[in-house]
Amino acid sequence: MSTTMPRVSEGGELGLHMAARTVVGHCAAPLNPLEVAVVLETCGYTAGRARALGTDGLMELAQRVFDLMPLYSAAMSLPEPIEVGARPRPPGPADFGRGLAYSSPWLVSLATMLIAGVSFWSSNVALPSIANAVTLATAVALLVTGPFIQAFGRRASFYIGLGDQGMVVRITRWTLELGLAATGLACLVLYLVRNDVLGLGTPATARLGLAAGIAIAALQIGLASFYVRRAFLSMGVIVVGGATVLIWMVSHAGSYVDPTVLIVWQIRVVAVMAAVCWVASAWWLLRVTASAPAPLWRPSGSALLRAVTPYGLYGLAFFTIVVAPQLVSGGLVEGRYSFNPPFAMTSGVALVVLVAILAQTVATTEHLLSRQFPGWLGHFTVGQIDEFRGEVRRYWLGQLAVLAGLSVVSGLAVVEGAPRLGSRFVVLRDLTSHPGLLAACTVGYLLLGAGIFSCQLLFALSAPMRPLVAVWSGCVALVVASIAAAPAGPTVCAAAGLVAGAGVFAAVAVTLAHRAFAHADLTYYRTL
Amino acid sequence: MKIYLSTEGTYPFVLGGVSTWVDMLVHGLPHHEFEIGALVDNPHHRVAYRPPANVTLRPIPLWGLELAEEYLPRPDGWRRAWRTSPPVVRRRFLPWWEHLVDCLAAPEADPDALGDGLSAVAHFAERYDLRRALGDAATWELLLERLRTNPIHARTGLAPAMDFARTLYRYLLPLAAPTPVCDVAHSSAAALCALPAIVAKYRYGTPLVLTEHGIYLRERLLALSGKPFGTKVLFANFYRAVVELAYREADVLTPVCAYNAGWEEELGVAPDRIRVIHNGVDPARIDERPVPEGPPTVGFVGRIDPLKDVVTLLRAFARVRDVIPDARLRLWGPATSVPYLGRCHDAVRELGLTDSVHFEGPTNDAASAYGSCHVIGLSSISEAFPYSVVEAMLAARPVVATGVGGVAEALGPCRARGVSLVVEPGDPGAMAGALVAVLSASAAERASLGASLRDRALTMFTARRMFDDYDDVYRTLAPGASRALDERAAPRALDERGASEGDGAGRAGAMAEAVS
Amino acid sequence: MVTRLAPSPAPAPAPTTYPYTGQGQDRRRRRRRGARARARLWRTEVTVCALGLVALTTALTAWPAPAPARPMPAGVSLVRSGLVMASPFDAPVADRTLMDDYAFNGSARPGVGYGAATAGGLHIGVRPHGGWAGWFAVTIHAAGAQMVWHTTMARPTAPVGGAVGEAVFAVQTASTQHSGAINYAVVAALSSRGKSTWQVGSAHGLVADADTHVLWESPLRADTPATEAVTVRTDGLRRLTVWLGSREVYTSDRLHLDAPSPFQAYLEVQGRGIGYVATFRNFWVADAAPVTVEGAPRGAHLALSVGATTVSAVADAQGIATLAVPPYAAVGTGTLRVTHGSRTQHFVDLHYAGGDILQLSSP
Repeated sequence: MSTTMPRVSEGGELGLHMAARTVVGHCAAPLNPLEVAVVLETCGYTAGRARALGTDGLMELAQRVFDLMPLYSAAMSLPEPIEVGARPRPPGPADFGRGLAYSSPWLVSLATMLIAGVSFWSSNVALPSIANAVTLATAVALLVTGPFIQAFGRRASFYIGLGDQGMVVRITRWTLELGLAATGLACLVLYLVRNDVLGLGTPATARLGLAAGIAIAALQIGLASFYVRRAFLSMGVIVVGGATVLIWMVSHAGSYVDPTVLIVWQIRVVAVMAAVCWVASAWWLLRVTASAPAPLWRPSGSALLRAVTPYGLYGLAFFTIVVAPQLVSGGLVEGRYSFNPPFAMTSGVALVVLVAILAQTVATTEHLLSRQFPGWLGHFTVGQIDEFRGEVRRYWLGQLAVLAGLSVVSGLAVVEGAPRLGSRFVVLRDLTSHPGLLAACTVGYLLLGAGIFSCQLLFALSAPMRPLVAVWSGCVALVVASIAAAPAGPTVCAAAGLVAGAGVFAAVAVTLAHRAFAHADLTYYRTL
Repeated sequence: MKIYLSTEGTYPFVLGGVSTWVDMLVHGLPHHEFEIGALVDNPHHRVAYRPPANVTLRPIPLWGLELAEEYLPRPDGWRRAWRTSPPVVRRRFLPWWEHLVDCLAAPEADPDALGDGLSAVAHFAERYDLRRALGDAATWELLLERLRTNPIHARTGLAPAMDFARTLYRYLLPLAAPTPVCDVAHSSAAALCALPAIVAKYRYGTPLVLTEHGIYLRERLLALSGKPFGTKVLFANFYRAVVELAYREADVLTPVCAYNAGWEEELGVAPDRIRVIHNGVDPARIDERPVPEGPPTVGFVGRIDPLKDVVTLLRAFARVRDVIPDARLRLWGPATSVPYLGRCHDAVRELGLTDSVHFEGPTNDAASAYGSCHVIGLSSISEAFPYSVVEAMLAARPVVATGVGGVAEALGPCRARGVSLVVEPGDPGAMAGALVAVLSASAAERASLGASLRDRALTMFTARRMFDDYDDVYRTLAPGASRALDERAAPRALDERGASEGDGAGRAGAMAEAVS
Repeated sequence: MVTRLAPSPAPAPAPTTYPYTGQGQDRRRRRRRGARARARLWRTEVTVCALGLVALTTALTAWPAPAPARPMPAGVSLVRSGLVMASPFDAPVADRTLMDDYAFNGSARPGVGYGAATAGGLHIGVRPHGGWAGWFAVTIHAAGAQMVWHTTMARPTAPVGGAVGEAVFAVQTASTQHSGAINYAVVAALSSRGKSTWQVGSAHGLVADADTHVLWESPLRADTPATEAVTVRTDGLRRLTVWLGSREVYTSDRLHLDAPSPFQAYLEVQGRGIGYVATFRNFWVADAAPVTVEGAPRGAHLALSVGATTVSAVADAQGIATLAVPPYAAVGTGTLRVTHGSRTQHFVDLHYAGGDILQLSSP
């Protein structure tokens, strides 16, 4: 700020013009004489100086200077130049590669399965009782942890953005730890019902199921902190470490892998990985580095609950769509459950199509609010709102086209390629026997991927109600389709439910996302 | 008596003049219960001042929260959100929103109309969810339409327009806070923090006191001066409307200096509603110091800041050195602008003052700083009512200062050897002349001058006097609030707005219409 | 219609429920720990819980031992157990518990095949049906080539008429898991047309088209014993020895079994056109190695008596004696007599198994 003042002796008209130039140097287009007065006073114009310039005081001086502004300020006489920013660049291969990092635990698990023939929580176990117990426990673990993980993800990201590590720790306690406790309780109830009430399975497998549920839930929850912090390298180290142990164990087992020994090791490895994740989160990822105290005021619990409930409900319904077909394939509609190896195998293979879709989802959502929207908003004026909406809509349709292309490529790779690998990998040997089931599951998961893509974009835009509507619509469709297809047998029933549920989920989600992007200004405005 | 005292970005979280004032007030009036409505940017703050037992803290963070209920205690958040359906928004919120937007988009805002709009929004927020209402499609479409059809705003970038719209929600959040229940509402600025107090006046007829330490509108306009024109219009209108509304609704304004009162009168406040209450200093903190031994020393205590115009003081001191070669200049205080500090050091070198000018850095012992000098210099180009001048007076030191803000009323008509100690800003020659006049006076003359300034400070600018003045204001207003209730006119509808100043019943009527 | 509303008098102050620190109306107590202290406490809690998680899952995933614990007489401790699997089948066992060690399957339709463990043994059976149907219990665990496989197998004594009934005890390669091949050595009790025979054989190939070879069979007679104690020892490649009771009925070291270890035992029944049941008792799998006794006095004479059989050995300079129990008696209960000079120690009710290493404690 310049502090050069005109001398008192330079009064009269010359002084007024010099004052006007002084004002223009600080403010190109003052709104009114009041703003001119404020600028003059800041530059040292007192009442005395104003009188020396032939006015009654600062306000009259400001009025006379304001009248002179058009002579000195181009901005006052011409339309204000609009600063238009550059168009933001869409996500590229590098973003896609970073998106793949989100699927790293899954990719490691797949690689382990191909190398060793076993994986972390799905395997080619020979004992139906073990498969029943572990599958049911896994389903319960995913269903119960899902809501808590979604709630954690939302709120922890919020506080990480604010730099409030104390609240991140607090949210971790109230979501993840509560989720683990709830899952433990749910698995215990499942154990008691199956073992003590219904007498299903064996006592040893029932305990295995309980342990598996708790371990899988703990690992899911433990990895959540890594996702929120984007600590993919360390997450990869932990997962690869666990995979290494499993591969070593299987490779040293010889030609026969005792299924009981295998499942025990799998569960213990998962538990150790979970323990490492939790300890790493507490001591490193979520550590409170600064000595600043926690915020003086904790937010109201009921308000927090209200803020995260949509995300939690989404998690519950989403994982219902994921796990329900597994249970239906085991005869859930008929009131029983028995592990269905063909369905488990084909659906497990078909899930691979989600890897590319999830990577594209991450690439598209990661910079949506920080780069895309600011870029678009900076490129248009209020009067060009229709052009703005068109630009955003074109972007959305372009991303949908990319998604469709990825889906086709992934789907073909799985449907055509996976059975051919059966000769090489024992674990895929039976795929050739179930081509129709593989195709149906692939279609189902591709549709699920489309729904995930749309919903994640809506979550990035802080619009949780639309994904909620979409996912629960899918749930209802899954239930209805499963019941309707019941006479055709559990396997067909499960495939029909998966396709119908995922299809409705995708259709509703894509439609709602399309509407959100068609009125992108309103959607962005609503991220209040 | 229960006082609702609202602050904005100050007490008890941020060190500064206003925070110190609040801290002194709540400690100095222990017989009153204070409820501090502290507007802050986010909930993550340390407490810089420990509130005493008669203070209840009610923070109102504007950012750092997703839902208002996270930090603004309101019952039944679920039910309120459920109730706020699109038909309810269109029927009960949209008319007032349109009204509000029209106010803000107009080149000259109407504070009366704004008052109607804000009070209706506050009433709406009592029963419904403000975020849902503001997030409704119709709300946004209306705002957008108004902007598009406005020749000024149509050329505004979408980014600043969106920023304004989203910021408006944050600015309206204080209306979502529970209306304070108190005997007197006292706002420390004519700003957003005054909104809950204004609503309390509309709702319960609570009298409102408004104290301005700096002129809020002036500060906001300065902050907006570099922004694009369209953005400036939107925000400036809003700020001006809020300021004028606060001026209109305040029962009494108590600026900290007559200079601020001048601005308030220019902005339409009747002089009979203004009562200047100068900031006070506790004399026990600053005692009279004996004249120091050693060479003639000029002192400066304050921030090394462009607004303090330290460069002019340095130029003036260079001229003093021409007359008094052994004079010294000592400057205490933190540098808030590193580039400006560099300019000051460059000036010292260019003027050949490296042996005689010393930058002492920050100090916690201002009394000792004053005591080690013969005269205190202050060359600010902009001030409110500076504590440093009063503290120097209490230390019985002559002060040569620029006549900006409330400096002249602090010092009064003081002269040394016929030379006024209050000079024009940006005039090193005048400042040098005043400094020479003081330094070349005899010790007795300087002591007499210092003593008279100390007497003036002890008479007019003590903390006890400030406390008594505010206490008097509170006591005067509390029974007055009851009288004002009886004298309220009949309520009015939206299309029957009259120019009735301070019409609390009219506001209440407008609120009732909004929800009928 | 506008409702005229006068400003209301200020209500009585409601109790404040502000979640803040502060004086006055906020009465809620809060601990005044800093975020760092709270985080430290949380870290400790998480670490303890993580360790607890590992401990809990380890405890929950402990699988029941395939062989029951064997109490040792006083003065004898079991250093290494040669008993790999053992199911006496002399008391009822719940199906759920049975399935911790055995998996049940077969070619029989659902509801035709069954298995149950009573006081009389493990009964594997097929209900009346048309065509061939089989049902089996296979050990979940596997054991290597140095093991001896034993069970007492019984077939029904009632004649089967024109149908065929077969009780089967097979030692099959566990690599079926990967290869699908069911290569095995088998001992079967076959009944048809009022006569029965005991057979020793092998099979080679996939489930659908395996080739079966009969290596030995007893004369087909009506009075063929219905119950035999069957003991099998094989390396899965070239060697196979079978005992019925204490009689070695077959041995060869020039076979082409092509059944790599480890092996699983199949306790099986097959029937054509008839309901049939096979009963198994005293199933065990143990090391074929001798019983090693350590800690005996140098030069002491050790004798292990099992029924009418006695196996003896002399302790060497290290006090180690190896008792070469016959394979068909590799697991049993007997008395161990240790004689050194004029002193003799008796260890009664010693539950031994081939491959055991026993430690005698000093008297």
